[in-house]
Amino acid sequence: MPARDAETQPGSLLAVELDFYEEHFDDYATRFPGQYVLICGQELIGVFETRREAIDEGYRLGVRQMLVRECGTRPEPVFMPTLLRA
Amino acid sequence: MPRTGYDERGRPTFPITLRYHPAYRSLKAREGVRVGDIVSGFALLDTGADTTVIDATTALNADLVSVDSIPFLRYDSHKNINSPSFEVEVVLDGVGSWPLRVASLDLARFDLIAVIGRDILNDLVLTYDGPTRAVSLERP
Repeated sequence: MPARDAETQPGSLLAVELDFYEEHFDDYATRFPGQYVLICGQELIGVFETRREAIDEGYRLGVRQMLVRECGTRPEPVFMPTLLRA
Repeated sequence: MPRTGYDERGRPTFPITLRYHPAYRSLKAREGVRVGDIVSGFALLDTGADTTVIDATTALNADLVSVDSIPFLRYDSHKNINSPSFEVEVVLDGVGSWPLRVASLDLARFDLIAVIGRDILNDLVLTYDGPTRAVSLERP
């Protein structure tokens, strides 16, 4: 699976949420396949049918940051813009 | 057909506006809060970039809510680096607008507010006129 080895600086944006998601990766993949989790801090706020529903719920709650992921997935790594490769 | 300009290093840039995502604007409107444009400035057109990136400081100053994280491939290490992603609407002046999720990286040192990647450019016809060094964008 991609991105498992991605480097997240301690204390950086979403570091807590990403760690929490990884801790529960297998559990969520088994219990909620194809659904989307909304995580804030070390708390699972809810499970939703679509990404849109999950993000809108986060907006509605007024959170400052959230992690919304399809259960059992990790985003594919992408190339850094050419500008920043030097 | 809208044409690009160039920065001092000859890179093709295009005037854009970043706006809050329509879903966020709708939710705020229901709360009686009006939000719209975040900032206007210039973006680099980068056909080599998988995804559009906005400036991290701009995202911070606009209080954008991060919704996920995107891993970027690094060239100086076997490890990737995570970048928070946000929902915004990217408006290319005179061309169109794209509500989408974008990554964020430090672009302020390049006097850019965004790098436009193939997630947007794949919707457009980009023409490069070498002799005049003009680049134009058209949404077919």
